[in-house]
Amino acid sequence: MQCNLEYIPVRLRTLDKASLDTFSVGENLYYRCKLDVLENPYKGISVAEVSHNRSGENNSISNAEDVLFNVVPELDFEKHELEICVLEIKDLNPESKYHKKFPPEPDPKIVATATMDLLHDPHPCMYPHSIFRVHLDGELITMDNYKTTLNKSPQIRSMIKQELAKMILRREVSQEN
Amino acid sequence: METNFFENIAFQENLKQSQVFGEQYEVQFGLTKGSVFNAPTFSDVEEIFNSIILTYNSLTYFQVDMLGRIFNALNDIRHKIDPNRLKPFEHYFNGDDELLLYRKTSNGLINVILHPEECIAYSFIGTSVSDQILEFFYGDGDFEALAYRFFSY
Repeated sequence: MQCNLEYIPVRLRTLDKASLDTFSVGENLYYRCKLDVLENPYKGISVAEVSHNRSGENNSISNAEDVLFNVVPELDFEKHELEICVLEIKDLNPESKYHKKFPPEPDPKIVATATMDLLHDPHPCMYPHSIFRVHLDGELITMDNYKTTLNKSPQIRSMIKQELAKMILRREVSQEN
Repeated sequence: METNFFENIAFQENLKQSQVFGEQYEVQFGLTKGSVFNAPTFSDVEEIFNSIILTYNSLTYFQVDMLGRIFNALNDIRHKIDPNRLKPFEHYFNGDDELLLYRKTSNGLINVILHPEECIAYSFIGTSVSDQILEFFYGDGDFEALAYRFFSY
């Protein structure tokens, strides 16, 4: 699929570039959001496919401002008027990935289990595009099935929100903490 | 300066009754977009409870019930133990139909999250790296403990 948005710089277009399987410690993730969400992430954070841009090492893939570009052709504007939250990757697992399980240990009051992974997910107009992808009992959570899946497990939803809120408040991504 | 939040609410409600300027007063007081309190001082717990119920008309029975239990615990703390334990907080109703009671302090962010059904979550995210709590309270939970925790940071 091609990028037909003329205002997107060529350096940000995916073209024939492959997605990258791993992330680096020290790499940044850029997240755009409302000011309200920076103050209290529980106000507005979504658990389904939370989008970020990755920086690559030393901003080799993108810089912070790039996350404001609109890549949805149906929307009639070039840049989002939102805040930019910069998250630094502090540590990763031995495979240089972020992967967490919720709950971390079995809990008799919580019947479901979920996983959250950070993935590089290039968009034709935005090669740096990355997402936190959630599976609940093996089922991928999307914006379409969110209400019928994750909403049925408020504990899991809170655990994942807690993790994302922690990232935003501390401006970091950590596999360990 | 200490303000009487109860009197403020009564005053605002009277002004909102105005046929000519009621809508403008609502905007002026920030009552149309959810964040009702701007650092209030506690004067009357029951009035704040009523204000939340009136502000968010899509609360579930479970949420109203749980909110009532939390506010009963707040009232008990205020009357029987120490009114100074209560501190200003704010509230918000988010897109997942969760009612938030929250406080931000120099120690971190505290949220009590009332889900539409089943449980309440207590969340604390501290400023230091290892400082975080996420606990769940159910209908039979200790709401006094929850209320204390809400004001403990």
